[in-house]
Amino acid sequence: MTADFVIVQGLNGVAYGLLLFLLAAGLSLIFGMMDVVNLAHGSFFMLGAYIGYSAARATHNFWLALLLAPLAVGLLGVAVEIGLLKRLYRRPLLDQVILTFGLSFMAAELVKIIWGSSELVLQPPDVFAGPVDVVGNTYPVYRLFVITIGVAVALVLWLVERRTRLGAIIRAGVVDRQMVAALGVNIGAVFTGVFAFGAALAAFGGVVAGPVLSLFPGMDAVVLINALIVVVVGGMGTLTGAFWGGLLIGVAVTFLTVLVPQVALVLTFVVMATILLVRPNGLFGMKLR
Amino acid sequence: MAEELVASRDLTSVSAPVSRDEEVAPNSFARRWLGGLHPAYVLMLVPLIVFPFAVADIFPFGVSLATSILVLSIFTMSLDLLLGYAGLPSFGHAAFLGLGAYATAIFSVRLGISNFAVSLLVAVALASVGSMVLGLLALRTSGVYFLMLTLAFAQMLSALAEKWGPVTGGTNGLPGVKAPELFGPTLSVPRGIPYYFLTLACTVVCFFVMFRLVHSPFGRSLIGIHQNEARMRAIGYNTRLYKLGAFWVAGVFASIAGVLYAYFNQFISPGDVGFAVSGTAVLMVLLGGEATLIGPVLGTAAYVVIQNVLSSMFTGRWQLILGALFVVFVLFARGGIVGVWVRIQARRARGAA
Amino acid sequence: MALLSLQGICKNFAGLVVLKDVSISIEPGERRAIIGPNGAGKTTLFNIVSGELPPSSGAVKLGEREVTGLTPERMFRLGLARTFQKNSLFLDLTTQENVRLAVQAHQRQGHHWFRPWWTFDEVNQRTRAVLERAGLWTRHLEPVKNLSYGEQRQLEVAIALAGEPALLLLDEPTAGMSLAETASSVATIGALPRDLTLLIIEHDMDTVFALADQITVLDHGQVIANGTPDVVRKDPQVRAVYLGEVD
Repeated sequence: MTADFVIVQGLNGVAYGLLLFLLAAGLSLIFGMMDVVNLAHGSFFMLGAYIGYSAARATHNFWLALLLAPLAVGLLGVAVEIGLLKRLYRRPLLDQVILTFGLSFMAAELVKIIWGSSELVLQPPDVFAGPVDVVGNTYPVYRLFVITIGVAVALVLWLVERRTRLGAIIRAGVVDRQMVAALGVNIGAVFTGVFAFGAALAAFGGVVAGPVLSLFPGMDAVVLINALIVVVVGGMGTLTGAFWGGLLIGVAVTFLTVLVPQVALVLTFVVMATILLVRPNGLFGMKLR
Repeated sequence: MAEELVASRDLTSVSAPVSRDEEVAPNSFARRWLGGLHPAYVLMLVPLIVFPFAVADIFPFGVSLATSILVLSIFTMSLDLLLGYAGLPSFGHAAFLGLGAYATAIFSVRLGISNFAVSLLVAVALASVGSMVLGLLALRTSGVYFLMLTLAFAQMLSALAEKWGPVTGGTNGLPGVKAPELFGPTLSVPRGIPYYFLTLACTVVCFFVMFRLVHSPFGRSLIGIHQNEARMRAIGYNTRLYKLGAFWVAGVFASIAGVLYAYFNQFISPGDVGFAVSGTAVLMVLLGGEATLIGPVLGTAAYVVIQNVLSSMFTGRWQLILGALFVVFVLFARGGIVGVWVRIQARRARGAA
Repeated sequence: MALLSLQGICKNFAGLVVLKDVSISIEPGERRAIIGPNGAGKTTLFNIVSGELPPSSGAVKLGEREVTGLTPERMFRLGLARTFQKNSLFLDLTTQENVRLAVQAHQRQGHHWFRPWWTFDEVNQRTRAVLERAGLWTRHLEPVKNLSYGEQRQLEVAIALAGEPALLLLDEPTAGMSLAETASSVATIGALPRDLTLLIIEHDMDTVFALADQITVLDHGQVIANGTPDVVRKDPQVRAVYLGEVD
């Protein structure tokens, strides 16, 4: 295990971890705020990637795709929340799980119908397309871009959460939504907003991930499992948890997959299990209501 | 004394199923001679026994379909013990189906041992270990964390099956499982009608044992824990122990289903062990009606039939319709088949009253 | 020797002092009421005694035996039972099942996994006896959520009694009841066997004076008075706390 190896895989791990953060952030907030386990979150990621692919091919502009795909998926999120999820808020947890599970089935099939079953590749923008020299190794520039944009998004979210009124409402809502509603905030609108934003963020992650992972109809399941592990490890309802959990799992999975591919997922499970043994609510999670 | 204790059905109520007494016999004669089971359930055996002979010529696929429904019913009933009765939403139950199935397949294909009793023993042993490991870990958490831990467990086993090629056959699975032998190589049970009856016998035994379990003090305690765990602790129950027990029992029955599953399909692959099967099983339980034993059976039958019909009618598109069915079901028919039946009975009783 | 003794119980919640140096001693067969204004710490005290909360410092003893910090299950096994202020019943199960589960636990029959529950005669007979004594046998097959509020509170007591406890903690047994229901509840509690020790939290003064042998008054987490109803009635500090309040 040379230093070069550690650096390269470390960067890969951080990049993957930040992608997971983009997914986990939405998932965690949606659960923390609305008590909804959104099993369709991987589908938002996947739809973002595929819509981004088509948008990029149509407009020959990666950046436009990066803007359009999250917008489209965000609107879809609004429709799903208002049309379907709103009816299930008084129902037990399981009902929303089944609903989102069903939606994920539909999304997977729709993708197959519209884009076919073969693997697709989303090209990175030309400006980031080549390799660059990192401490003596050649490393794809695009992955550095992924890291940069991941950190940037994290910073923006952190600022919004800590420094704005909206962030305060969200944080309060995670802890006690009835109180927030009693204080006159339109909690229904906040829910729709949080859900749609989570979906858009996932889609954004999907487009960014496009050039790194490839697009295929099973990608939602693979990434959802990892995102769920991140949320469990980091703690529900906390962006900080999603961030550090994402990095932890991203780096762990990357190194394990390269070093011991046979048992990588098993060991990831062991890592998660160990963390839960010590902190049953995740690293940064609070006691659930 | 027992007569007055068993609730006469309040047919006007439409509450969601919470351990119904319908399955219990209404009079003491049946209770003594049928072990408490309602005679209607015993009568149900008759069509099940006649069925394969009746359809052998017109619809031979029917026997195969029925066998798979029975095998999966054992699996979903065991899941209902956790989900409906004990209130533990496990999304990783396929792990135990997989343990039983892979044990069977590995012994048959790699070691040449296709003895039914041996398969059962190994499966139960593995499931016991697995359920204790998962139980001790997952029961420290609750709600969503519990759900995810169980889910991750199943995925982990699936990944293990995928990667451990030399033993498990890797991604392609293990084909070539031979027919099960009952007491020696001379008495093997070939596919078709003989295997259907082996499966039927196992299903009947499992159903009866689970029926007794659910109405035993242990089973009622699980229901109490589901309703109000804090109160159960306050009246002296070590609830953690009970939940672990439920985990163990459910895991064992699931592994038995796994053994039957492997012998039936003569094949097993990692896809049968992971989240998709676990999630579908949850749906089958809810579709039929939780906290009942006949519910999962009905739900499994409904799902298998619907899935077969859809995939032959809409090759390629059927998952889309299936997903839509999940959504519609949750929104409008949440009580499942049993729930709908209860509502119809209630309306009729209120009309008569 | 005292059945229950609390020695120097203190409880802090993140800097907020809820209970300060509370020491109480209750004799077997005694009926003790704990009263005090809202927020005095009465329910917290109950939770410490029954095992739901550990004290920050101090000791709880049942007879000679130190039981500080034991779990609710263990406390139940040692002969302590309690009711809850917010009804903690099995709402979707029948009245009978609610009691039966408690009797089953007390008789240690919970582990049987193959014999149906209706074959356990001892459990079922005792269940019937408890329900009859609580006046609930006529409603025994009714789902508890269909019971009236008063009947539900009766059931709370019945479940607690099913365990044949030596000490019964009653958490505001007449809260939210009408006059008639209160009178009925007082009669039922009054009719409980005299060898059962009672510890009652109450707000309703008529109930307290009707039932209690001794009264302990809590205010802001401290004991400010202790004695027979007559003594407490005349205590100047108690009068100040209660009558001085603008309510």
